[in-house]
Amino acid sequence: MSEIDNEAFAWVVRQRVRGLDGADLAAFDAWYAADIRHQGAYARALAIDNAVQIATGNHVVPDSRDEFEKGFVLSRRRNLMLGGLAAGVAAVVGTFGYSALHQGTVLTTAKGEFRRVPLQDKSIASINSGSQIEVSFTRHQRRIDLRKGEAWFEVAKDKSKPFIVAAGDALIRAVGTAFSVRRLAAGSEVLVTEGTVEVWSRDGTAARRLVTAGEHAFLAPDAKAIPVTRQPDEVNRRLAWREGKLVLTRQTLGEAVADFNRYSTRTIVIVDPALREQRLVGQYQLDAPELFARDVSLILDVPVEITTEKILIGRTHDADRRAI
Amino acid sequence: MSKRMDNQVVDWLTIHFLPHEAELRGMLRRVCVNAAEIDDVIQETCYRILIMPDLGHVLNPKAFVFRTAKNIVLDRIRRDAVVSFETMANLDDLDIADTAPSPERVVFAREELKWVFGLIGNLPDRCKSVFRARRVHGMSQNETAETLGLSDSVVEHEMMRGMRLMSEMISRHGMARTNEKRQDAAPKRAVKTSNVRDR
Repeated sequence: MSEIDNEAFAWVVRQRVRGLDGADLAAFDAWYAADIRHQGAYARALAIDNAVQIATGNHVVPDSRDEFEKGFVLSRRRNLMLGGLAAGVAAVVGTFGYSALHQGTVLTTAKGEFRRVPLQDKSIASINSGSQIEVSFTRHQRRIDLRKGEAWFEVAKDKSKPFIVAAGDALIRAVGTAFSVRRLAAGSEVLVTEGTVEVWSRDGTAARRLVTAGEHAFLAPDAKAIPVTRQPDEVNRRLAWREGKLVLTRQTLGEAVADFNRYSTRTIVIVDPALREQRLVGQYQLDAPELFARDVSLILDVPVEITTEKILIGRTHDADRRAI
Repeated sequence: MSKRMDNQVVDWLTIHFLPHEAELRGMLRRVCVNAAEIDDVIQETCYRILIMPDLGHVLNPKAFVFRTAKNIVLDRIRRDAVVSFETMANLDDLDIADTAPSPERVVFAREELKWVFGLIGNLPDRCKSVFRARRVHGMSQNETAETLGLSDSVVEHEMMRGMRLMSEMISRHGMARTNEKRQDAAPKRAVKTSNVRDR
């Protein structure tokens, strides 16, 4: 290996292990700017470091809530060490944004958990139950990878750094605005609560669409177009999770139960399929599915059985009983 | 000022450049005058990739990497205005058929980096434990030092050594070495892999 490569490794290691302070940063900038070979060698060194990190299992994602807390602390610490994470290192990011930030911050919520996380640029991510996002901010862009679930973003204005959310095939760009993205089996849903965002697909099959406050867009993989509908009330209804609520305005029991099941480990099961299409109106706390079940029992006049693991709604048909 | 060193570029180099680096160096050996020039061309290749405005359009990354290196060598030849006939003939080896990528090549996952696992296995034990402790457990510098009973400067030294060794192996053997190993242990691995996929 050439001397240049060794210098590049030394910069990466020093950055990872100790972090670079003012004098170091100036020295690094001078070294980096001196020769395009330095820049190439430094990029290669980061790629080697990246390969080692990934290969040694840096991307472990804890599942249960306890594990999550632990994992969150660890990944925070790790990223601080790498000069990457949120608020605390904003100053470092300002002067050094193009380099030390490779490993993004991963934020995960367990089922039933909801987190509101301020990001380093003063944007705020509200992360819904059972979701995971990776935040990676560089000098040129603020990028969020929605790996699963749903999150609502209140984006701080910064025209020089577009705020881009990737959700599977869908990409959403905002400058200063508020919107949510949810990943579903059939595609990605975008709800805009403030300002305007731009939505497009990674492979470019569908034309770019602008989506403004009160509108809803849906991007299916391989879709030829991105349908946008204007439904301000529906947008607010779907985002009631931000207040820990589920609002029903004539949704079916099937839809309501699917929603509750996103949040609770105590699964609601509709035993009698005939009940699925019954429509309901109401407002419930997401963390109290049993209250919802009792209301359903009253309104629809059906039995409800609540156990520690499950909530069963409806009566099994006699025919089924005989079969058992 | 094109200092774009974000995830995308680093990821791209990790997946599409490092695995082919050894092969590329092998070919450069026939068109470069000495080892130092090969290092120069490799660094310049990374630099040109780094300043690409968008890598999303690159359909066949390996061919792209080789073509970029070829252009750098050509620029050098033009600049120096001295070249042997042999060099010109060997340059054509750097042309690789531009076939469309298979879809799985586009996916960034641990799967892509299986070959790296083999390389890490070849590191000295102390190097390995420093990498593992820091990476896997997300320990801070002090914690790593405490857990392993090593001083801070030793941890830094070991990391530096690990980086150099990885770089050596990547430039010499690349994916080839791990592939050989895999063949040795073929039956065992085959069983393991299929279990994972079933899930």
